[in-house]
Amino acid sequence: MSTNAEMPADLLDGARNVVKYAEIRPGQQVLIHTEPGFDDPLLVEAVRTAVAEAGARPAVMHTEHWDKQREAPPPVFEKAIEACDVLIGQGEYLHTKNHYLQVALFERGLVYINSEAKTREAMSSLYGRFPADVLFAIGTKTLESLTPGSLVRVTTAAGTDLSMTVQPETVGGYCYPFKYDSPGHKKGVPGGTSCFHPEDPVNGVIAVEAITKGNRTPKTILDTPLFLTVEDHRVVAAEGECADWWEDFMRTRGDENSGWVAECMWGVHPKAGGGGRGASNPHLLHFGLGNSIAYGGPTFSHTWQVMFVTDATLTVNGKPLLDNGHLTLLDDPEVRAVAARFGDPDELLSQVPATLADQFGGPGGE
Amino acid sequence: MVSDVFHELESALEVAAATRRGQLALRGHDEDFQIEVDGQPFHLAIERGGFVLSPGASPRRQPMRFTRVQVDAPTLHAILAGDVSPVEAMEQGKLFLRTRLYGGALFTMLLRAAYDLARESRLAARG
Repeated sequence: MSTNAEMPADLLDGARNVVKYAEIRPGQQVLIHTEPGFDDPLLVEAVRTAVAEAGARPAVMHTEHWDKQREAPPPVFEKAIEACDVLIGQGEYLHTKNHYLQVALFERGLVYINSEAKTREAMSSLYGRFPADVLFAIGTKTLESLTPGSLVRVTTAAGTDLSMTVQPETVGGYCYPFKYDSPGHKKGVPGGTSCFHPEDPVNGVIAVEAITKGNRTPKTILDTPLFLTVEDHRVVAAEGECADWWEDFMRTRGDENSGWVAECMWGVHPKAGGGGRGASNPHLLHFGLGNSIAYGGPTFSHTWQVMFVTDATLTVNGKPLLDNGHLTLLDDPEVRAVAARFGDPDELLSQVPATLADQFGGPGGE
Repeated sequence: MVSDVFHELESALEVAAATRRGQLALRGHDEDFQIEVDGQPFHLAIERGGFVLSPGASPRRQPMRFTRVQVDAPTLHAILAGDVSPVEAMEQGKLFLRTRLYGGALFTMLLRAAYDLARESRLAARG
């Protein structure tokens, strides 16, 4: 594929957005990874073209599929990422807790960009083409609201009520300009999530509505909540659907920190949903339990498990940042002023619906 | 002794800074690290293509530019001696980067450069 005349303009714009979000620079060696099911030639060519336009050196590697959590990667792929500056993962999410990726990121300085717009439709849509400056304005305002020592409380209609505090150095996510990044980082693009490591005291209840796969979970989207009681930062009791699974998981694979509340993350991208990463939509919020190292926490665990809730209200010192799944900063005058530079703020900042099925059912899901 | 650790770390980072990996970690970046060895803080400032290591806490804890590193002296010594890599130490729960999501790698890259140099020296000494 080399004729840009065949390239839909919206698709190329979405691919250019990947390059802008990731701040791909001239001279960088960029590896674009694809695999069966994630190898739309037109989409891959759009990303390759956008990388080349930036003056970087793109290369495309198509490998066989492998189980990203249980199997070693193809040796040729592992060697290839030793020789690139930036890896754009257009295939499945590579699960950065794998040792070879930890070494690549933290010791060699690889920049891993997980392209979350996995389909032609997603990359061409307003989700994929969403102006980076607007997302960064939303993200920066979000992070600024998480001031040192803030009391954060998350509640849901399903029964979640968890309180925690904030240390500013752990506040981050995939929502701010890449000028703040340095070699060795990983980002979801277009991203649109904010997060922090919950600081003590962390107490309350998580009414889990969906569970990510990976720890022999019997199902992902639950019919009724799994209630996890958190005391002094750790899950101490489970009741409800899949409580037996949790107890068995803790008994057979868990360690003293497997129930540690390591991450609180929510969406800030108003257009995230089908074909992209549902978790980036403000209707979805998730907690990560277990190893807190990648999230700035003080505890290590051999396990990791993510638990989703929907339509949360998240308050910072009593002020709603999320209000029943609506990101209140989308109404902020400064954010609207930035959006006005790129189009109609009402259109750009209106929040599309998102459900757990968007996170777990589509190609951009988990 | 923490003061010995300070000098050991400073010497190792000076050599590591001259490597290709060290330069990748230093050039064009502006970040602060508070390295807490058995709770004793050192301040590592990465700026203007180099670094300054000094005793005491970091005076600049700017969000998005700041990382607290927590490690014990035996683990840090093992890394600088080429016995345990930084990621191995992280995976053993002995090295913590208290920072933003996937941040703080500039320091672990420097540690890896020091680790590699220590191993190379050991191999060279064996002839």
